[in-house]
Amino acid sequence: MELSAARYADWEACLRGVPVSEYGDPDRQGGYAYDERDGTGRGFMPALAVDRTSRPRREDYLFLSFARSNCQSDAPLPGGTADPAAVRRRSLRAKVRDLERRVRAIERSESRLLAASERFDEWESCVSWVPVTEYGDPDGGFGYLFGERGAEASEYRPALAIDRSDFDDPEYMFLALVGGDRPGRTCQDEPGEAPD
Amino acid sequence: MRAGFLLGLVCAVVLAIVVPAPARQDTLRDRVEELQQELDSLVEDVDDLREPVAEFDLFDQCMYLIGVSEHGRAAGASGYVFGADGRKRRRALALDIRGFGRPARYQFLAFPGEEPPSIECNEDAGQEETDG
Repeated sequence: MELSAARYADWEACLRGVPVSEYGDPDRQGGYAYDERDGTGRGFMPALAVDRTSRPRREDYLFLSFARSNCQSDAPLPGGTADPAAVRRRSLRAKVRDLERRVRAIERSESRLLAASERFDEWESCVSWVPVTEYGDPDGGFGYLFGERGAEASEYRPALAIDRSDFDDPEYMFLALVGGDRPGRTCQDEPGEAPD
Repeated sequence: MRAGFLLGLVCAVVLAIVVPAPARQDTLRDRVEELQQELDSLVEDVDDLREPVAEFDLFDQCMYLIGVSEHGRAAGASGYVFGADGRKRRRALALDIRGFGRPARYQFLAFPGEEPPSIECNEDAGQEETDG
């Protein structure tokens, strides 16, 4: 259990929010140019992009990104429960003192676990699952039109968009804080609820 | 692993109790008894923590990271075509899991899209208790 708590501590230290909004009309009346290149012609699609303009908590989603470096949690304290107990031959009084010390250590450990589980519960109940699919061909055969400003766009690239399809499952469920929700402050949505 | 350690500790205390102590050490025996009660209470508390910790473990097993990068340059110098007239360029996010070139800008937390995570994602996690 302590390992789980340590992993969660690593997690907490490494997570950071990336503000992301959906640009373009979900009904595909405007937005990014998209071409399936199947004869149906060019149309519009919404896509997700990093939101650099909205004020904090006004972004559509705060996606959770995991930094891989410079985010390690503190090392376990020496003498804590992570250290193996030394086997010694001692008097009853010394044994009792030793047991008292170990009971205190377990109490501290239990408190840490309890606090970690409460923090995780609070965090998890605030996080939403956002259905996301990548549209377009990664090999450039079709998809969103891409190119330099002032030049004819002739390249096709994929991009991520909210998946509102009723027929297929989304490729991924991204974890995000939605609508300005923040653990420990406000959580308006039900746990695990996806956007409309 | 830690649960085993706790049980070992309980056994150690029980042994400490059953070892005959000199009569003059009544206070010590009282103290051992108190410790026994404290440990009993602690073991109960730790048992109560099994479920929330298991929830985190399941979450940890099912969650994965997916590389995502942003395509396009600042100020619309290049990017995805946006808008009806086709002149505007805008950045957008795309998966970056092919492993070529620079590492992905972001590592987003994700779950598989097709199943709720508690059903399938931890099938490979070994002999985990899934009920009770």
